[in-house]
Amino acid sequence: MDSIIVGIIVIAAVGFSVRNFVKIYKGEGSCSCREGCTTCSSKGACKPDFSIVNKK
Amino acid sequence: MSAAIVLAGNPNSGKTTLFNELTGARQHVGNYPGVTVEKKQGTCPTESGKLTIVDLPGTYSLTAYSLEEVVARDFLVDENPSMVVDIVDASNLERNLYLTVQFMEMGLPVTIALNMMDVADKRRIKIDIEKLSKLLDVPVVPTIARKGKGKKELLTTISSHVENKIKPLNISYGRDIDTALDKMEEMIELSGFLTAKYRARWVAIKYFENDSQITELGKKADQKIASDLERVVEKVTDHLSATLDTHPEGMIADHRYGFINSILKQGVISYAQDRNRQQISDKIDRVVTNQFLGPIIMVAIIMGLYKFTFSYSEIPIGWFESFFGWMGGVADSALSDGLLKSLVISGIIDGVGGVLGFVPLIMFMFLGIAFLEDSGYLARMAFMLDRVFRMFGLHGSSVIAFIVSGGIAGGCAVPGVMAARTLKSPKERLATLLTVPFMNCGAKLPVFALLVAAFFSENEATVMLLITLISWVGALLVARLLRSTIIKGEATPFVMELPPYRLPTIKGILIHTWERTWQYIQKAGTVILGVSIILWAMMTFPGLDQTKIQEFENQRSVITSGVSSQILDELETIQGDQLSANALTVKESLTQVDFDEAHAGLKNSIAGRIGSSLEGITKFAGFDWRTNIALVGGFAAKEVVVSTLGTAYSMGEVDPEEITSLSDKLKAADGWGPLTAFSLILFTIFYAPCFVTVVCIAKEAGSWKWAGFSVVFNTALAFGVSVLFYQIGSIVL
Ligand SMILES: Nc1nc2c(ncn2[C@@H]2O[C@H](COP(=O)(O)OP(=O)(O)O)[C@@H](O)[C@H]2O)c(=O)[nH]1
Repeated sequence: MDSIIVGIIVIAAVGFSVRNFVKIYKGEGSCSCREGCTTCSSKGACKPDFSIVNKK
Repeated sequence: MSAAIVLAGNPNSGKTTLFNELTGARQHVGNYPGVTVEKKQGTCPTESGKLTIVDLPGTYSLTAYSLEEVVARDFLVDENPSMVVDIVDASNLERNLYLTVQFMEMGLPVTIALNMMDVADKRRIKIDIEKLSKLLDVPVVPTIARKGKGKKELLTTISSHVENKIKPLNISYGRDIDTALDKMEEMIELSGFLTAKYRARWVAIKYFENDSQITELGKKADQKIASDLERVVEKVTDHLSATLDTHPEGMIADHRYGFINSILKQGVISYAQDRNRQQISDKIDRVVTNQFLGPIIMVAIIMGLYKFTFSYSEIPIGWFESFFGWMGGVADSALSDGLLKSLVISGIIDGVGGVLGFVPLIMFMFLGIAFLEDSGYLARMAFMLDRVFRMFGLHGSSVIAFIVSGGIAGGCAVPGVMAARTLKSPKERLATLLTVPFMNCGAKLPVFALLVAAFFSENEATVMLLITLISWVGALLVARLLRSTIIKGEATPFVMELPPYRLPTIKGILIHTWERTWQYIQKAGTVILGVSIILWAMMTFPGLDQTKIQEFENQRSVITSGVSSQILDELETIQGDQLSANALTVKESLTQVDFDEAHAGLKNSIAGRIGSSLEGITKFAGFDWRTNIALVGGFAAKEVVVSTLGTAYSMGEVDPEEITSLSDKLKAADGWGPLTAFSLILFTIFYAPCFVTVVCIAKEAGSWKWAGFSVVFNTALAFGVSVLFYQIGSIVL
């Protein structure tokens, strides 16, 4: 019983992680905070929101 | 009436504040289709019906350079909102109108919410609202979002203008471009090229701006027209570069600003009489960004931030540790010995728990950073570092990428890599892409925090500051090296405009802090959990073979056979600390066998073998096989270094009931000391970026070659630095 539960959990973890990495690889998750980085510089998205303008 | 409107505007213009004011609790957060940019949507009742309000991502422009801009653009095109409410920061009119103009060029109905009127007032900027509205030919409503002022007027204005027909704005971009645009517009209209979705002239402008999204769509829609358009653009580009030494993109931006200025100069904006009175902001800046005082203040502020973080988080971290210890205890008594128990305790609780244990630290760190960010100080930091950066061959605005990546602590290299997009010079951009991963991102933080707490508990903040300095110096030196070898080139100039200081609101800071902390928790509960379970499995299987198990069984029999049955009974029935001396010795010997068995099992596991095989070289840096496993796992995400060490040191644990934190375990473990710990810190600063960052670098640099380079080069550099440190340290200490 033990082994079965552990087996299921491990397989689920492998599936989840592989799916995650494939998604990141394909660029679908490249900017997602949940799958990629811990902190995004802004609300939910990875944009730098410092108020600095690059003036020509 | 039930209309859909969108809120758009520059970052920091007060968009979120206004959105919250309008929708209150009637909002929900989702994602834009296909991408993971957050989409906030809400409703707002008005006298004439319910308004659906969508909060677009904040952007400065509508190019295809960043995901947010593309998302905003696509949404506007696909959903055709009845009104774009453009939140414009009145204290920064010129820059904010740059986005407004682009909405108008798309032919969208725009209402301007002229926000931050209080700030403009304070800075004695007078804006003739009626004139602005007349000249731009869009309604303008003054607001102070923070106080909820102007909300009613804004809603009334929106309601009365939603049905209006609008005339798209056509700006002149100079004769050369205008003539070409006319021609292209005709070509586009005649062939119906992309016109199902976009305005013909807008498409033409985008071709001039070399907009990757539109040119790609164009290629798919009609190869021939696309290449015809490209040819026109090419010709004008060549001509512009020959005659005016500029390129169409630059011309277009210049003319947009020109258009805005021509409006503002017609008496729309005026400064009150004592205009030369130094604004408070400038006064502060004279001290804070002073050539000599500035850097000292900067280091002091960072040090203060770390001191604040470490001292306030210490106690709550203790609570978290006890909590996970308690959970381990519960799991220990609830589950019978076996694989599942090992998975739950060693893999999940001691692994992921180790990462989650640092939530308070992360929270306090983010709290401090949110304060620095919201107040405007972070921009000053970037401003000062700009001078330094140019010396090292990086562009001034690379500083932003560095800070976003965790220059002060707790950022992420992924948005840092993205931020490098704003750099026009491909070489400077590449140099930035390759060096931002050296910063202390939020995922490295728990690794540093763990090691610092275990081995440098006396000087936590100082060591953290040292780590930060090392990462900056390292990044700059590498940038210099790259810029004088494989990506040689001139540095380009850069001018930075500083926003005024602003007293951050408590609510704003708390929201920022919570958002980031929550992301950290979510990541630990998903990505890190998944990887931890996999690593647990790799550290558990294949386990020991039968003969080995028998060997340990035999050792146990040897120990117990020479012991009287009375003592054996005692071991069965009596708790640890009440045992007689004889029984205790026996128990210790048995525990030692258990420990040896667990240790042998771990070492024989898949991960153990990988770790051991690397030990031959990593021993020069002071890393044993367990550290190696953690570092290899860390490629998936740097937090995994912590969770893997947690699992590895949990599996061979002598007495699982004894609650000790991972840092205590490391302190007690063989082969660990300040030297090893700092060597590991150095390695963590410099070694290969995590998987996500590598993918991002490949995408942004346009080739896997550079991504591969960053993995190999960074790891080699990290190893070199660690070995050097460890070897010299071993001799000196
Ligand atoms: N003084 C002043 N501050 C404002 C006003 N509107 C927003 N803010 C502040 O400006 C900061 C940025 O606002 P936020 O809504 O997060 O901007 P967003 O990036 O556009 O979503 C916050 O600290 C707000 O409290 C305003 O009308 N006056």
